[in-house]
Amino acid sequence: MFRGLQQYRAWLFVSALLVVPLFVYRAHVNKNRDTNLLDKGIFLLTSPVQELLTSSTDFIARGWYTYVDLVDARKDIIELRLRLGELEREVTRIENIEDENLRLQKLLSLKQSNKNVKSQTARVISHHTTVHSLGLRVSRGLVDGVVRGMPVVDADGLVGRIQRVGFGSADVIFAVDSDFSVDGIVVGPGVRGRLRGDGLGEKMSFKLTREARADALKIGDRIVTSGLGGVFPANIDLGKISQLEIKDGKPEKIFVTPNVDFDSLRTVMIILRESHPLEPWVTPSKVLPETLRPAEIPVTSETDLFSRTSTR
Amino acid sequence: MRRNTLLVLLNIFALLLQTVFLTPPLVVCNLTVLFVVYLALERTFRSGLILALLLGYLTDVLVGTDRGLFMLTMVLVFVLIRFLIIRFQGGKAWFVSWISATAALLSTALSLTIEMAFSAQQTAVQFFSLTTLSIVITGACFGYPIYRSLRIVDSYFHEPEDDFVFRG
Repeated sequence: MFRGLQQYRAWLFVSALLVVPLFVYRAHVNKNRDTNLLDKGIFLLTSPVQELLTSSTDFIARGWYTYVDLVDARKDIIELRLRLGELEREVTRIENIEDENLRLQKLLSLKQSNKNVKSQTARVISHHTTVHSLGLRVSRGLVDGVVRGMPVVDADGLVGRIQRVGFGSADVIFAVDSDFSVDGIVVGPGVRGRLRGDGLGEKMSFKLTREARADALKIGDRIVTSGLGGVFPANIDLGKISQLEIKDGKPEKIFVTPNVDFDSLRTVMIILRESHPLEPWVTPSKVLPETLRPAEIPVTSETDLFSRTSTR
Repeated sequence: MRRNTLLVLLNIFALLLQTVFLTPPLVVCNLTVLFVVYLALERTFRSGLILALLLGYLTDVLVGTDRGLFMLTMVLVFVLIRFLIIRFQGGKAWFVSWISATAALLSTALSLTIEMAFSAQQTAVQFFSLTTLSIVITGACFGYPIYRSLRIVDSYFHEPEDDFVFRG
């Protein structure tokens, strides 16, 4: 019998090795049995190696991801710098638009306040500041009804007058040019005089028509056009007294700083000759610089923008 | 004995690597099957079968859920591969890779069948799934490198082995 078994021992061995795990599986499946002593021993031996592998993997992974993060951070920095440049350009563009918008609003307000005065709004094409003349070129000419000598104003005051006219453009001489002069009057004391540009583009000299007392004028007094001579309408802002030299109790030299910032002009208004000197120029208080706003005329609301408020 | 011990230790190390590196959803694989393929190709029937059982047990302990499932599967895989290579012989890369992929597929099919037959729970893995595909692909990829590595380890030890004589 044993000899017969020995003959088939290979088959019996295979069968046994199949039956044993099958029984083990049958015994364990669906019963959620806890680990036995041998399992626990294997866990005890293998868990430190597994922990070492896991921690070393984590270490390598952390190093790798730190490197990747740094590479990504560099890429992000470059992209953000480019984006920052784009945004800065965009901000500058928007600021220019806002500035232009404000200027146009002021000009519109000016135009609304002077409905009886015919005027043309003109875009500044170029500035031509040389040693010979200070001025600019605007986008209106003969075809728009512009002729030589017409006053050019900005929301801040007098810019100058038309000196040369082309078909579609015209050259403007600044009020601060040495070839420019205009009759002006000091608001308040009513002292009249002749303003002339100093040629340097910074200030104008104010020569009194007749003698005045030293205490009649003070620094900061506002000067507007008098309207005499028939070239400029009355009441256009010219600037304010910035320098006053007194000799023998009388004003010897008076210098006026213009309100207009000639360098930043983008749009101006040309007053057509046919309309004046019938109507004095009206500058709305909202348009005026804060330092020149009369205290007794409060600015009520946004809707008050077009109200007629003479500054005379 | 020494080479068997070393093979078992290597299998434990491979299983630990598998639990650390070759984890879902990155990849799903069963490295023990590839050890069993090596045993089927290079070892005698008796020692190979015992080692397959032992490796199956280790797999059950380290990566399995129900004790005995991988033991049974590995023994069956060993026997089936052993009978399969009676017709096909060789140790070339393509052959080992092919037999490894087949063994991986076979082990998945067998374990799922056993699970379906004996377990009250629904099987966790569907046979026709990306998981099965991943097991077969990793079997084909890692089969030959593991086979060669174990051959190098075995070549240091020249231990004669007895084997069965199958009589019908």
